[in-house]
Amino acid sequence: MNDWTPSARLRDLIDAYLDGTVSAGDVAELEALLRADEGARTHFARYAQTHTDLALDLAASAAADRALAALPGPVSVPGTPRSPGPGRTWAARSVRLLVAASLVLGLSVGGGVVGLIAAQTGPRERPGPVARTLTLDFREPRAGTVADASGAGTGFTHRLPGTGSGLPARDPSLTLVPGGGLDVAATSSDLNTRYRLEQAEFPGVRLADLGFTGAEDFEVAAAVADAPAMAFVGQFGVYAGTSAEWATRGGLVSQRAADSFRQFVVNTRDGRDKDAYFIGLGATGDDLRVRLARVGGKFTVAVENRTAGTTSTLGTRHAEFLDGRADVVVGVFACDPRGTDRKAVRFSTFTATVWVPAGR
Amino acid sequence: MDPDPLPADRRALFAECLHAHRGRLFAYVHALVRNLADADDVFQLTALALWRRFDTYDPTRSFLNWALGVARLEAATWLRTRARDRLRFSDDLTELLIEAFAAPTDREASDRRDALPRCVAKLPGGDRELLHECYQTGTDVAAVAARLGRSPSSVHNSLRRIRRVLFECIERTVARGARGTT
Repeated sequence: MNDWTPSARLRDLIDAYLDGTVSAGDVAELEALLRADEGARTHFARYAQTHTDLALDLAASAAADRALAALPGPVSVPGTPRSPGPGRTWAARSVRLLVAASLVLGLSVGGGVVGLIAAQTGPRERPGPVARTLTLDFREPRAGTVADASGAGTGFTHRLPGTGSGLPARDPSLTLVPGGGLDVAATSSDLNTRYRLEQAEFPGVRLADLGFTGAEDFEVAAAVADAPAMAFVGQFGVYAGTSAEWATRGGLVSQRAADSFRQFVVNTRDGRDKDAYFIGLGATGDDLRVRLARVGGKFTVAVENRTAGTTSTLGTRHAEFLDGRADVVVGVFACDPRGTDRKAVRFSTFTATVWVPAGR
Repeated sequence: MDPDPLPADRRALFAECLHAHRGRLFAYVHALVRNLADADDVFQLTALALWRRFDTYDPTRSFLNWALGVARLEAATWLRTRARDRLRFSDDLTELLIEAFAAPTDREASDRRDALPRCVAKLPGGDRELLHECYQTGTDVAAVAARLGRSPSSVHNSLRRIRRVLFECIERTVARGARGTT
C-alpha cells in the first residue's frame, strides 16, 4: 500500500474541501499541495474514494430507496446483488447509475431515449418490475416533438390536455438553450380557475409511451437552474395529470415578498386547486430539483434546493382521481398569472420513469 | 437527434466498461462537484457523453482514463454554468487527479469497497449513529447539531474523525489482504 504520509494540514484541508466548509484561500492552498506532490494526489484520491463509498453506502437517496423498497422483486446489476444492510443504498444507486448506461443503449420513444435496466441485469430470482426511463437533457433538438420558437423539437411529445390550445406550432414561449436546457417562459395562466389555459405552458410526455397502464408506480423529476423572480403566485415545477381540470403538481410558488418562494404541492380538482400544502422557503437564483413520485400508490413531492443544500418532502391528500388512469401526462410547467414580463424558467434536465412488470 | 445506434458488440462493450469502472468514475466526479446529488447528475451526463463519443474510443487504451477525461469536462461545465466554480480546482489539477483516481487496480478498488462495511461495523455505536443520522437520513449537519445540542463545527469534527478512522481501517484491511495474496 501507499507508505506516503500526509501532513496534518493536508488532511485538514482535504476534509474541509470534501465537507464543503472550505474557504477560497484553503482551496488555493490545497491545490498547491496537490499539484506539488504525486503522493498527495494519490492520498486525496484514496480518501475521496472512501468518502464517496461511505456516502453511497450510507447516504439515502430518497427516491432510489423508496423505489427500491417499493419493488416486489429484486432488481440487480451484475455483481451487485440487492441485499439489505450497508450495501443496500449502493445497490440502489447502482441501479440509477445503470440507468445512465442503459438509457443510452435503449429505445427511442417519442424522440426521447428510454432505458431498460432489465437489458443489463443478470439472472433474476423472480421477475420484478423494470424501470423504463425517459431522459431529456435538451442538448439537441428532437424531430417530431413539441417545437420551440425556432422550430427545434424540445423532446416533449405532448401537452397536458386542455392547455396550450392557442399556442402556435413554433411556440414562442419555449427555447432550447445552446449547450443544454429548455427555457419555458411563464405565461399569464393558471390551472386554478382554468385561467387562460389556451396559453398555459404544460409540455410533457405520456406515461403510456413508457408502458404505463394506470397501476404502475412512476416518478417525474426536473432540475431548474437559477430560479427567476416572479410575481405573487407565479409558479413552476412538475406535474402529472389527465387534463387541465384533473392534475397534481408541485414545485415553487412565488410569495408576496420579493424574490422569495415556497415549496408547494396541490391537486387540481375539476379546475380548482384543492389540498394545497406549502413548506419551506426558496429564493430567486436558487438551483432546484423537483420530483413528483407515486410509489406504493402514494404521491409525494420532493424539492431539493441545491443552493441552500436542503430537501423537503411534501405530501397532500391523495390524488385518487389519477388512480387507474392510463392516460396520465407528466411534464414541466411555468406560469405567472399576475406577471407581465414572461419570465423564463430554465429546465436543465427532465426524467420520467415508470416501473413496469418484467417481461411486459 | 439521437446518435446512430452502435453494433451490438460495441453496445455490450460500452455497458461492460461503464459498469466495471462506475465506482471510480463516480468518486472522481463526486470529488470535483462534492455534492452527491450533483455527482449523480454529472455522472448521468458523463455517461451520455461517453456514449455519444464511444465511436472515437480506442479499445486498446484505458477506458477509465478516457472516461475520467470526459467526466472532467462535464464536471467543469456543470460547475461553471451554475456559478459554483469559485471553490473548485483548476483544470490543470483536475487533469493531474485523473491519474490518481485511475491508479488503483480493479481488485484494489473492489477490496476497498468490500472493507468499508466491515470497518463501519467496528465503529463505536455512537459513531455509527452519527454516521447514520448525517448520511443515511440525509439530515443537514446543522440540523443534527441543533438536535444534539452541539455546534455544527463540533459535528463536522466528529465526522472527520470517524472518516479518518474508517480510511485507516480500510488501508490496513486492504494491505493485509494484499500481503496475504502475495
